Amino acid sequence: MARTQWYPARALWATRLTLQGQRLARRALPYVLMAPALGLLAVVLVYPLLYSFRLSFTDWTLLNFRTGAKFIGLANYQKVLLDGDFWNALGVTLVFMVSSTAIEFALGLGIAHLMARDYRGKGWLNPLILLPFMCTNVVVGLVFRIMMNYDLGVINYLLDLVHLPPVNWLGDVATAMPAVVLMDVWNMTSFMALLLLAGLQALPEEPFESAIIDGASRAQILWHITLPMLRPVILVAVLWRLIDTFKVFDVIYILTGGGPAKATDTMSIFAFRTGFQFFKLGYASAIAYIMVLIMLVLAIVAVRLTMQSAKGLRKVNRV
Amino acid sequence: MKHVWIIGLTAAIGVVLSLSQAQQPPLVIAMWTSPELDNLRKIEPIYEERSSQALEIEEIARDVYQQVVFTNLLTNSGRFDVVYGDTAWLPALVQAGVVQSLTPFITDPNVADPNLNLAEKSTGLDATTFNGEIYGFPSEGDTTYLFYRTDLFQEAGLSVPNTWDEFLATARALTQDTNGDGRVDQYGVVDGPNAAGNEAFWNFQQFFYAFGAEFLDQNLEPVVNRPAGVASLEFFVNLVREGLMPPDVATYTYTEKNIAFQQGNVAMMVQWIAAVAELADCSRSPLVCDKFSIAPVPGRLENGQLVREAGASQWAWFIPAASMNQVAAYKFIEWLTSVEGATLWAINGGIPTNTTVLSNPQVVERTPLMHFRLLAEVFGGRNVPPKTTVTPELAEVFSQAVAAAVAGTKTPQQALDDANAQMRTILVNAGLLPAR
Repeated sequence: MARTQWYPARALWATRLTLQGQRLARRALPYVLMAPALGLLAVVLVYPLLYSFRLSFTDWTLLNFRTGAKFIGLANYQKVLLDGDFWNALGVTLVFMVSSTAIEFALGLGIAHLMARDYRGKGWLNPLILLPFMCTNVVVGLVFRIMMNYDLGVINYLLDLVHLPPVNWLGDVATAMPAVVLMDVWNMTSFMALLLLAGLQALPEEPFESAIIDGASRAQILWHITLPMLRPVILVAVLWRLIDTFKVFDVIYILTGGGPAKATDTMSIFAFRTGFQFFKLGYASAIAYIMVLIMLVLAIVAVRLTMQSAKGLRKVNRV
Repeated sequence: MKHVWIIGLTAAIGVVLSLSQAQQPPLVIAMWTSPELDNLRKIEPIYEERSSQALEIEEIARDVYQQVVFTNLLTNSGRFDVVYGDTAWLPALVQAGVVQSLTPFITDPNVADPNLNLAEKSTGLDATTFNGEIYGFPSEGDTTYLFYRTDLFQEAGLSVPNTWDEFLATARALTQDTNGDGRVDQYGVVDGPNAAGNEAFWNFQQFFYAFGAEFLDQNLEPVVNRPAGVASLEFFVNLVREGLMPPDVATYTYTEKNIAFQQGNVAMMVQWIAAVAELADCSRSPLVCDKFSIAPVPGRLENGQLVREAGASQWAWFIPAASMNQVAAYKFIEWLTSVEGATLWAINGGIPTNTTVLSNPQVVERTPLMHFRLLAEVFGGRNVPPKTTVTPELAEVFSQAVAAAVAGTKTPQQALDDANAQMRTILVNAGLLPAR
C-alpha cells in the first residue's frame, strides 16, 4: 500500500504557482518570439495602411505640403468614381485579369498534365518549364520590350520569316493589350501549371481506374472526373492569379508605361501616376483603397468558394 | 615621460583631423540618364582635383527621374545634396518648402565667390527666382534644331526646309523602301510622342509653338485648343498616318528618337540641341556622325515673313532643403555655372546658361558642329513652359492628349478640347483661376 505523503499548504501553493508560471511562460513564449517580427510588420505594414487610409480623407497635395492637408470626408472617393481615367483603368485591368488568367489556366492545365506524366527527359524538362516564372518582372518587361520592337524585335523577324506582315505590338492601341497579355502568359503560366500539378498529384487514382474500366474517353475523364475533383485547387489558382493580375504594376509599366493612349493603363499605374507623378496623395490613397476593396471582395469570394468546394469534395468522397 | 604623452596626443589629434578631412562626405548629385550626365562625368574629376571635394553622381532613369527626385525631396530624405532639375518643377517644390534658397549663400561673403556674376546667368535666372529669392543656378537652356542627313538630302537633291509645307514635302520624298522588299525602311522624320514621363509634351511642343500656339494666355487661361494648336497636332498626326514616321513611333521618347537617327533609319528630326554632342561623336554614332547637319526648326509664314519659334526647357542646379552638405553643394553649383565651369560644360557638349561663355568665340569654335552659332540665331524663338505650381500636371494632360491623337483614339480637335477643359480644372483646383 502506497504511503500518502503530506505537504505543508504553503509548499503546495508555491508548487502550484510555479506550475502556473511555467504554463504561462510556455504560452507566452511564441508571442514573445513573434513580437519582434510582429512589431516590424506593424511598422512597415499596419502603420502605412492606417496612415494612407487617413490620407484618403484629406486633400493632401504637393501644394499644401507645408501648410497641411484638410479633412474632406468622402470627397476623394466621390471624385474617383466620377473620374473617366479611373473607369478606363478599371476596364483595362479587368480585361487584362480575365484574358491573362483564362489563357494561363488553359495552358497551365495542359502543362500540368504533361508534367504529371512519366516521360523521357522529365528530369530536365520540368524545371525548364518553370524557368519563365523564376525571371524577375523587370527583366521580363525589358526583354519583351526589345523582342516586340517593330524594326529590331525577334518576334517581327520570325513573322517575316513566314511571310507575315510585322505587327506594331506596343505602338498600336489594338495590339498593346494582347502584347501585355502575351508577356504575362509567358511569365506566369508555369506558376499556374505548378499549382495545378500539385492538385493533380494529390488526386486519388481509383476514380480514374474505374472510369478507364468503364470505357470513358480522355475528354470524358477530364470533364467529369479531373476538373470536378481539381475544383478547389483550380479556384485557389485562378483567384490567386486574378488578385495578382489586378495589382500588377512593374512589368506593364516597363513594357508600355500604360500607353499608347492609356490602352494598358491599369489601376496600379493610374494610382502610381496620381500619387508619385502629381503627388496628389489623398486622391491616390482613395484609389488604392478602392483597389483594396475590390481585392477584398475577390479574396472573400475565393475563400468562400474554396471552403464550399472542399465541403462538396468531402461529401463526394464519403459517398 | 610627460613630453612623450604630449607628442603622442598631438600626433593622435593630427591623425584624427587628417582622417576626418579624408572622410569628408561626398556630394551626392541626382542626375538623369542624359547627355548632361555624360558632361557631368567628364567634369567630375576636374572639380574633385580642384576642390578636394568628392562627388558622387547618382544616375536615375529618365522616365522615373521626376518621381525619384520629388519623393526624396518631399520626404526630406537628405539623399541628395545637389539636384539637376527642370525649372518647371520649382514653383511647386518652392511652395512645398523642400528646396533651399541660394540667396543666403549668395549674400554671404564667406561662402560666395567674390567673382560671382549673376548677370551672365540672366537668361535663365527668372525661371529659378520666386519672391525675390534665387532657388537654383540655371543650366541647359535647351531648345531644338532640325537635324537632317546631309548625304540623303544631297542624293535626293533637296534643300533644308524652311516652312512646314517644305518639311512635309521633304519627309515624303525621303520616306523610301531602299532595299526593294516592299517595306519602307527609311523614314522621312521621327519624333517622340510617348506620353510616359511627359515626353510627348516636351517633344510635340516644338511643332505646337512653331505653329504659333500657346498653352496659357496672359491670364493663365488654357488655350491649347485654339486653331494654331489644333493645326499643329493635325500636322503631326498626319506625319504618322501617312507613314512618314516609323510605325511604332507612339512608343518613342527622346532616346528612341535619337537611336532611330543614329541607326540611319530616318532623314530628319526636330530634336533637342543636347543631342548634338552624342550624334557628332563617332564612337557613339558611327553611322551618322559625319553625315548630318543642323538647321533652325522650320517656321510659319505670317504676312509674308518667316516666323520661327520652338519649345524650350530651362534646367537648373538646386539644393534640397534637407541636404546636410549645403555650403559645399552651393560652392559646387556656383563653380559649375561660373565662366570656368560653364566653359568646361560647353566644351563637353552641354549648353550652359552663361552669356559670357555662350558668346565666347573660342568656346563656340570648340562646340560640336560649332552649334552655339546656330543657338545664338534661334535663341530668341525659345518658349519656356508656363511658370505655375501645376505645370507638370498640365504637361501630363497635354502629353496624354497628344498620345491619344497619335493613337487615333481621339481626333486632334477632341484631344485638345478635352485637354483644355482638364487643364482649366487643374488651374481652378490650384487656385490659379476662378471657377466659371
